[in-house]
Amino acid sequence: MDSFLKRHRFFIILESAAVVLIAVLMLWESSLVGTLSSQKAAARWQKSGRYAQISAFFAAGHGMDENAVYTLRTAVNSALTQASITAPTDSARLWYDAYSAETSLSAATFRASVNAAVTAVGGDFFRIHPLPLESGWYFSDSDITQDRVLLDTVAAWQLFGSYDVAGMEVTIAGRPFVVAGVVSPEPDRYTSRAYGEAPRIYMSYVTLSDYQQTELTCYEAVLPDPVTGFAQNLLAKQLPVSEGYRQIIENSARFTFSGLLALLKDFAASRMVSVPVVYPYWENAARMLEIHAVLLQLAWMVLCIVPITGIVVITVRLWKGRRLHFKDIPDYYERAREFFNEKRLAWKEKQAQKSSRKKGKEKLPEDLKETEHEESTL
Amino acid sequence: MSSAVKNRAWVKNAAIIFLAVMLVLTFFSNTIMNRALPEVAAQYAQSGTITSKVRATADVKANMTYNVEVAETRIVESVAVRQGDTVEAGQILYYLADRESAELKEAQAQLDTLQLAYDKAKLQLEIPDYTADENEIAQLEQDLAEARTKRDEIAAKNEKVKKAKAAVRSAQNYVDSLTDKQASIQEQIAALSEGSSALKQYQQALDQAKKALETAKKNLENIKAEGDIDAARKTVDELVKTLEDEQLKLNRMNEDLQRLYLARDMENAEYQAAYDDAVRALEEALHTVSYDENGNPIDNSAAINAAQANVEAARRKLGTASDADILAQQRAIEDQHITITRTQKSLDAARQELSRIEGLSFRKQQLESEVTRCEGAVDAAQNNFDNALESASSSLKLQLDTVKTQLRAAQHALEDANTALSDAQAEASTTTEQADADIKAKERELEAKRLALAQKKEKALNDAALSNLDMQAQADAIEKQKALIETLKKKDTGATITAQYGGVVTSLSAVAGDTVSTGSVVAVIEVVEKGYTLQFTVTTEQAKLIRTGDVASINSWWGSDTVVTVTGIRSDPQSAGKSKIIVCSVEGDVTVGQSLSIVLGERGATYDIVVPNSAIREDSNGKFILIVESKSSPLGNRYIATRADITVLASDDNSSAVSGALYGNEFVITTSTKPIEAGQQVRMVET
Repeated sequence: MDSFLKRHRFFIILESAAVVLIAVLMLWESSLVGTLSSQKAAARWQKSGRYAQISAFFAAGHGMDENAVYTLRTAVNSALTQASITAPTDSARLWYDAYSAETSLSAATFRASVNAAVTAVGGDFFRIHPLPLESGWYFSDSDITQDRVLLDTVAAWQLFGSYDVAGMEVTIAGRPFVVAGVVSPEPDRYTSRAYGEAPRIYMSYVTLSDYQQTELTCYEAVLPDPVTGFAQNLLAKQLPVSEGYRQIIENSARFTFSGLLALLKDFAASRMVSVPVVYPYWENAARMLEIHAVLLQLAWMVLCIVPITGIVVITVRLWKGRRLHFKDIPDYYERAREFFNEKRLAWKEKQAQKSSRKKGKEKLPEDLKETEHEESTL
Repeated sequence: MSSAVKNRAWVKNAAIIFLAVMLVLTFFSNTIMNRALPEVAAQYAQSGTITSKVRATADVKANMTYNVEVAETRIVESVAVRQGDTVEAGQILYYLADRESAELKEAQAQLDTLQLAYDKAKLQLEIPDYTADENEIAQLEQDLAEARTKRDEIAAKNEKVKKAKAAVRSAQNYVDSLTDKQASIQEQIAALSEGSSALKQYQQALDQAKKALETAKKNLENIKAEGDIDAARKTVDELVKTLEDEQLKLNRMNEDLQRLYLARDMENAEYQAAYDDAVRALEEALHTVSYDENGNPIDNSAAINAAQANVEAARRKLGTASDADILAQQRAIEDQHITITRTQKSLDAARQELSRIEGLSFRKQQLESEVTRCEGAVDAAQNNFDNALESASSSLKLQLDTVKTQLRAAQHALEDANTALSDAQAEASTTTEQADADIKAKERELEAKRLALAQKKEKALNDAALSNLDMQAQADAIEKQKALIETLKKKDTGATITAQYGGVVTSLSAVAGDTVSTGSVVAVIEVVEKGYTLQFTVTTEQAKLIRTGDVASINSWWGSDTVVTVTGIRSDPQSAGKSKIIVCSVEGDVTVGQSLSIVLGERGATYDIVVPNSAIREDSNGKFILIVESKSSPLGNRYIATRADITVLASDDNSSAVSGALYGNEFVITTSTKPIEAGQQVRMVET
């Protein structure tokens, strides 16, 4: 054994190193992919994977408004009914969506006044984007009065000097709002690159559109996906924005092996920007993550050459060093036949001895019959 | 023999296995496993109330708003108030620009014509001028008066003639006296120039001066111009020059003499040197012994003799330098000395002569100056004399002049007196009757003129009265026209738009320069006396919580007595059923435009199970909550998150009322550090 190891030590070291490296890269890639929680909404909704998260981004000037969202919801509902897809229980929802728009407003308290980037959200935005909360809780569409906002840590710090400010009042664009809570951006490095340094406030889109017409730039939905591409096609068909002004992305499929492989194949073309869309920060973070994941995948896919080559080499060697050969098969067949014939004959002799003991010469035709039967069964 | 020695290797193996098992178990112990578990915060579900509130912000408005409209199309000149100002009833809101109307133009044209006519009429009024007549009358009066006085004066005139005659006589006398005086003065002047005591001293001085002058002149003549000073000077100079030359010559001679001395000495020296040489040669010859080829001394007695002869010759020559030249030179020098002495003497004589001549000329100059001085003295004396004469005679001359002028004047006076006499005589020619007749005629003429003037004045007065009436009428017409123009202007210029009611101006729709058309609303005034109101839109869900008569609570830090009461809920025509308008009345200390934040509809309902909003989760199977169930095991308490499906009955901002398969005292997970799923083990937050 020792001499064998010594002789093939280079090969063994190489292969084991390659395997270890591949394992490390794969682990790294999967841990990276798991950092962005906003891309895993479908998995949170249903683990089995029969749901897909789709995001659609619109070019400036061609965004949707609230009425378009209601129309879209109705259209999607009817399409799902037509496809006989229903919720598992009566009280469960089959799918949900979220929409957001970006603008900039000034927020003020008695203490300070800031120019904040405002993300006006609607639908189940915080179900898709579960931002870590420092205090308070998210607001939702079902609140009676839609005048609550979420401040991010920068805004809370500048406006109040503390994070524990849920319930306090802030004036945005001259109107009073109540702070529902304080969120901080997701802690992963991609979000921190894409988030920017301006303070950010999340408020209800309905309230914003009461006094400032802002069009929606992002629509996300978690839809049932019984077959691959069903959800994406459904949304692509129902969206009221024309193709040249929107970008549809399936978040749940983009970080799988096949998704990354598809990106790798079309890597250069994916750099093209043919639709004038400005992505919100979470999409920018996801795009950064895509690149890293793709590189890692490429790395370990390339590294796979080493074990594969090793396996091929071993296989060839083993094949070459085999003791069984094809040309020996007829021999084997003959030998097997002979072996079985011997066995049969021995058995037959035994039987004959047994019957000759019990019966006399009357067993002869039966022996003949048995012999024929045995022969035919061989 | 394996059992001879007790095989204790199994202890080591057992220990290793035991320790390995312990190590493995450690990894499964709570402490380490717990590190990997997500930490959760949980709280008990309990019964509570869900209070749903409607928050709204709206601006206070007044109940009554009044629209200010424009009566006719005008252009706005300036805006007098600002949005938000409080105005009173009648306060000016807009200033309208002046407007040109046709009526006004016509009226002004009319006024101009009237004014023109009036001015013309005024100018055409004749002002009667009586100055000519009055002048005539005055002159006539004057003449009359004169005639009267003349008549009175006839007697006086006769007297006057007499007086005139007397005057003539006196004038004549005066003239004569003056003529005599003049003659006497002239005689005096003539006499003066022949001598007077005052002038005597001057005369004497003059004579003395003249005498002195004559003496001086005589002295001057006596001086003979003896000798020509220039020639003497020239001689002296020549002699000086000659003396110098001779002196020079003498010096040169002395030098030559010295040279001769030197030459002689040199010669002597030469001789001496020759002698010395000869002596030396002799000695040499004496002392030198030369040998010939054989070593025999040569006889040099010949040489010695020669040398001795040389010596002798040289010795004889010693001191024989000729000094004949020297002697000659010395004699020459002596002659030269003599010449020099002679020249010196003649020079001295010439100098003496020169000085004498100079003395004489000096004296001559002195005398000449004396003469001049005497002449000057004479002139001065003459001047003095003339001056004295002048002054003496001038007073007389002055008197003469005065007398002459007086004489002329007197002659004039005489002439005048003569004229006056003749005039007086002429004047006294008219008789008293003539004077009377003249006076009467003049009186009649005067009367007639006066009457004519009085008639003229009366006529003029009548005419003036008539034209006054006309002018008055015209002036009245002008005044009327002016008044008309004023009223028209008032309408067109300085027009304003005023507020009919007082209140707060909430909107101004016209700016300076805008044309506002008839009937357009240019301002909106909220009349605050009629109370305040508040309006805002709510969604239908929110409207369900609000009822008429609800009193809203107001978000304000200062305690205020403002009361907001819901007075009505209307449907919003713009939103087609999705929202409603809530109308409230506001009482208290508010102003129009003030923004109020109110909270309405606080209705609380009690529910059995109320959980915080953060506890409610949802997935494809519906809404659920996660409950912490603790399982005690030999290794300690383990906490498992279990899922319970729920339905939400009601919710407000912070908590929701739920119902489901719950007892009501569950430990509900609210937040966690990591996403957790049902069935997952968790650990509790250490408080």
